Amino acid sequence: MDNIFDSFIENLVKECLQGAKFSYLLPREKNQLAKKLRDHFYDITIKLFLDQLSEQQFNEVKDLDFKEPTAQQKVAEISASIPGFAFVLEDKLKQEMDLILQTGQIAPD
Amino acid sequence: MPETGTGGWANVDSAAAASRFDAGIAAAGERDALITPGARERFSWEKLSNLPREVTSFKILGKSVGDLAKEAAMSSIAGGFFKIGFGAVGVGGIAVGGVAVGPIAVGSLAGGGVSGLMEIRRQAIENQTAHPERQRIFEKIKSINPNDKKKVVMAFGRGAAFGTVGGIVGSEWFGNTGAGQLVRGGFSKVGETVGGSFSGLGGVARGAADAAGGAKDAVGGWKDTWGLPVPPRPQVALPVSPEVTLPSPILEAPAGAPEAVAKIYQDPEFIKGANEIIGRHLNQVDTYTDQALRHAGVDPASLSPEAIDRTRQFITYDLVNNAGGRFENAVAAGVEQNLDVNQILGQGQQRLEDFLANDQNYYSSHFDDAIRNVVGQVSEPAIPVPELSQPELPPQPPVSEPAPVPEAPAPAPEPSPTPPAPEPVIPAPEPVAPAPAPPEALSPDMVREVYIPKGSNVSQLLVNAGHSISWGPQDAELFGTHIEANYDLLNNFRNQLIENHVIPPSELMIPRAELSDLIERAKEGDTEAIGKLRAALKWIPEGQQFKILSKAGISAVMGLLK
Repeated sequence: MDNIFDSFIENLVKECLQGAKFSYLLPREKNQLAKKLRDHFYDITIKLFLDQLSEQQFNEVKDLDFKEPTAQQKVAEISASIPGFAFVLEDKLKQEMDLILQTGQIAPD
Repeated sequence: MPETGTGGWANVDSAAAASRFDAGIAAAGERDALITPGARERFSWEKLSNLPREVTSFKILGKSVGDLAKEAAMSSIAGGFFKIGFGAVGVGGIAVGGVAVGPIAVGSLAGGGVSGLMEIRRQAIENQTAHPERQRIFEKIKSINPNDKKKVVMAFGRGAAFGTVGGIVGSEWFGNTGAGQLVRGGFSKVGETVGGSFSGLGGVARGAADAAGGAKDAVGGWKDTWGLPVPPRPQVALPVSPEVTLPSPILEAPAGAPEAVAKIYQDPEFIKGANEIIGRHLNQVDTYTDQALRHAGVDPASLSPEAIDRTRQFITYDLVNNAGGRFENAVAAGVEQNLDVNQILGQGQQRLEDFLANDQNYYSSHFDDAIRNVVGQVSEPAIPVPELSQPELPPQPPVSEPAPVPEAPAPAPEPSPTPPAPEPVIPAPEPVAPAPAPPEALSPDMVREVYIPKGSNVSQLLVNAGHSISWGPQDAELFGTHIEANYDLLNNFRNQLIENHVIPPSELMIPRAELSDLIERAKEGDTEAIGKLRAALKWIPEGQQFKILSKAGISAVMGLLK
């Protein structure tokens, strides 16, 4: 599963890099940009997750130590309890990719 | 290399520099050149001209958060009382792919692939991110080291797919997951671990005995959330599922794993051992399924075999996934400590059993909600829209009434003192071709009506009625004839959604006259046609009757369409 979601994000990054707005970049610059894009998509995912939480769910995650596997399991579990989150997430990420392709800009967080 | 620091756009290799600037990787000199006043103005103008309207309206024209909240609220009429879907909406939320979504506080709008809702949702979401406490946690997660951050993000993705079991359409990456494959009926990977009976590659034991004889070997330590031991519960002998095969290896090395870690995952001894350990727990899947259902307040005896199977699949998938996480940690730690494969396996087993013994991991309200979603007993959305008013739509007219065609945009209620944002002008939907086929004329063995429950979707209704769905050309007649049979219902509801700005006018119902052609094209594999047929079934109203055709009914309607 992780691999699939990871691949999905990598594909988004790849598509962005192939966009006309970034065609001028050198390979080294594209590598730099890929890191930024990847991180940006991660941030979008985190932000969307937090936005979807109810107050009760938010209270459950806010004090977690996210470096801990148990915390990661907890957020996976909470994420699973948000019906349709996969669709919302995928739409949001694709929308972000479209915006990047269209504007050539990575919006600030 | 561009000239830098001159303060003039013309002195910069503008296109390349702009790309680098946009991407945030421009050299310092380039940044200086681009942000000097003369250049900045031109740069901004160029960028502005490229931005879509919603971006300019939000980010450039600087609408206030209050304005956006109000717009979101006004547009979230669906939050009132519809159910939408390929499924439906509940109070304060919209169903995505058939499952009600609750907790977007402001707009309560979400939709798999519903482009018209995206901006509304984005606005609602952006309002929420303004919440300082959420922003703080966002910054907290952002700031952890990249490896851990990636793990957290992957956990979101992993969980998202669980939560979507029961939803069907639209999601690309979800569709590629084991859970997605399960839902789509094309089993692969973890999706092959359906039910309680596993034929084992790598020594995975069989669970059919549990399924037939009632679950009896509950894992020690599974307790209710309040920490008390679980009292013996009456067990239900769940129906035995068809025998399926687990993939081997069950576990895969995490993406980007160091070579030493990847090597462990390729070791035959590790593969065999991990499969055996995980298989022993998979063997208990019927026990877990029974317990999880009961804890969620669902009586397994009240469920259809399909619902029980879905729950099994969910539990199985969850188990395999959790096992993967535990073994991933064990392998990482083992490699670091230079342990051999057997020691790593021992650690993995220990971690998995510790995890399963932790009552918080499964018996929680979140897991209960997920289970209820899987079996289609979705509870009310957790969060009503706070502060902002919930405008209601007029009641859905009976199916037999003609489709209401809005003459003007619906009057927008006033949820706050903030002045309303300009409403888009909604053109009246084009007239729809008159109905050529009267499904009412079909005999009772060809068609029957089923109630559309909350949180349901067309695919669920069809599957529950005994149809199978492949999401390909084979479904052309199934989808097309059900669109025809339910045309008025679908069309009326869609018009209401358009009228109330829930979906854009571009999402008008496909004209009836085109249906036959679409079906033929879809049968030939035209993906656009298949997509249109699927999209036509996307929105159904809760509480009404949906006509389900038998095979004979499908043939009859196809005959009427020709």
